[in-house]
Amino acid sequence: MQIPRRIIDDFKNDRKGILPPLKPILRLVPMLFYLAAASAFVLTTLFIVHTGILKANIVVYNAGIADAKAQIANTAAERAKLEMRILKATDVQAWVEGSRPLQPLAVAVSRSIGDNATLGDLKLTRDEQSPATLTLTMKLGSASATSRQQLDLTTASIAKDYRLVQPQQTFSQGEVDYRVTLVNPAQATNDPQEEAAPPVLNTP
Amino acid sequence: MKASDIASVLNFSAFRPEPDDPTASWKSRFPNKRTVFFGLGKQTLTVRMIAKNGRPADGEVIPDVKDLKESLAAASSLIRERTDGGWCAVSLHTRYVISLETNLSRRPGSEDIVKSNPRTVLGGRYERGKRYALTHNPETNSSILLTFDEEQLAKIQATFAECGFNVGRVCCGTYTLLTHALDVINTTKSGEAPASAFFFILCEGAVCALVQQDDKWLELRSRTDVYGPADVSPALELVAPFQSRIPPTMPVVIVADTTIPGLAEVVAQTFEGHEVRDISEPDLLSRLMIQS
Repeated sequence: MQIPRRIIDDFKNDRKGILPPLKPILRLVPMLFYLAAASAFVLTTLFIVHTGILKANIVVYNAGIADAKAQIANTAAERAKLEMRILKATDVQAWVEGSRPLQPLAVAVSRSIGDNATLGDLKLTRDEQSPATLTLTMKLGSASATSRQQLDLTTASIAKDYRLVQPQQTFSQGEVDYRVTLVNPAQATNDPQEEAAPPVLNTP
Repeated sequence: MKASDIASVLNFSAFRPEPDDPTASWKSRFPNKRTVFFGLGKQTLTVRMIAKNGRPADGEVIPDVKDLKESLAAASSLIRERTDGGWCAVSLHTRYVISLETNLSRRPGSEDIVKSNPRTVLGGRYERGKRYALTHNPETNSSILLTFDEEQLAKIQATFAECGFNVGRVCCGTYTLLTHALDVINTTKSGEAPASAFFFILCEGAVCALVQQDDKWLELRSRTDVYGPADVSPALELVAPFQSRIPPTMPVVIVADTTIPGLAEVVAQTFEGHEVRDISEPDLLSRLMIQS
């Protein structure tokens, strides 16, 4: 025979309201609670850590942005300087390019100046309306006896390449203020108005 | 819902039986907690501490306990310090009666019903002011009946409570050892080889003897306060008359609350010619109380 094994018989006065233990499956409730609490702690910690990292990154990025802005400002200033220089250089280049046809004239004038004479002022003006003509204004200084000869030498050297039109000269105390309109014969052939205009030579 | 209910769920104590739940084993009620077992005899009180791992420590005997309250109060503070919450189990070795009864009610669950409504199970054998425990023989109409005086039980519990202890269980050590011995010896299924044995139970001064022949319980004798810790010869003298009454082939099964050196040899001399089988183990009663 077999006698079923049982819990030891208890003769204690049983307390009222003794509750049976909860079902084992319900252990999931506190387990999930602790899991949720642990997850919340971990996520909060991660959030705080990442927030700190992002704040540090923002500071770094802001510093980078400030550096970049400063660099942009420096570059813009340098670019403005460069553009200004380019502008000046362009002007110089335009002046050089524009004055190149006048160089032989200037050389001829300067070489014509003798040892006893001085060239106080030389001004060459091109009229926009008639590019083939030049207005020469110069001030020659020398002894009164040689000023006319010097002027003749100079006008002769100019006349090799240009036709002198309406010269005007004023002598006073050894200085000559001379003004003349120069016509380049090579360019004047292309300009019918210039060709029609008769050469005028003003001599005192 | 109280905050304590929520706390009990969160600390998982709600998934364990309550400490005074009689339907649960001691081990499941007090996991990882220190408790204490008391053995209460007529004039002796044994104290056995139970460690957190559920192992009983060496027992201490408080002799000459004439007034339980005085003796317990003197040692209570020291004992309570060594427990978690002062929870204790009390094994009574005196003032009980174990008897062999026949023709008791065999309705399903009668062994549990006898605790709450003993009259329906015991019928005319019921006495007012008594508490009972019952073990049926599944092969015959006989039953082993344990009877306690209810007033005495209440008095003992009140005494322990006054001394600061929480009583988690009150049981009878002899009855516990007897049912354990029946469980160990009777292992065959119904209709198979019937078992015969002379059960000799010794539990801290109490003695019980049961004759089982071919699965039938023939005779039962139970006495309390028979022998002392130093000398078991009065117990042997009590059961010696059985030697001439039991068949020569019937083995003698010894069950004691703990191992008693030389007991098997002495019993073998008393029951000459009988096979003697000692199924006692060190701290057997304490282990049974912990496991079940």
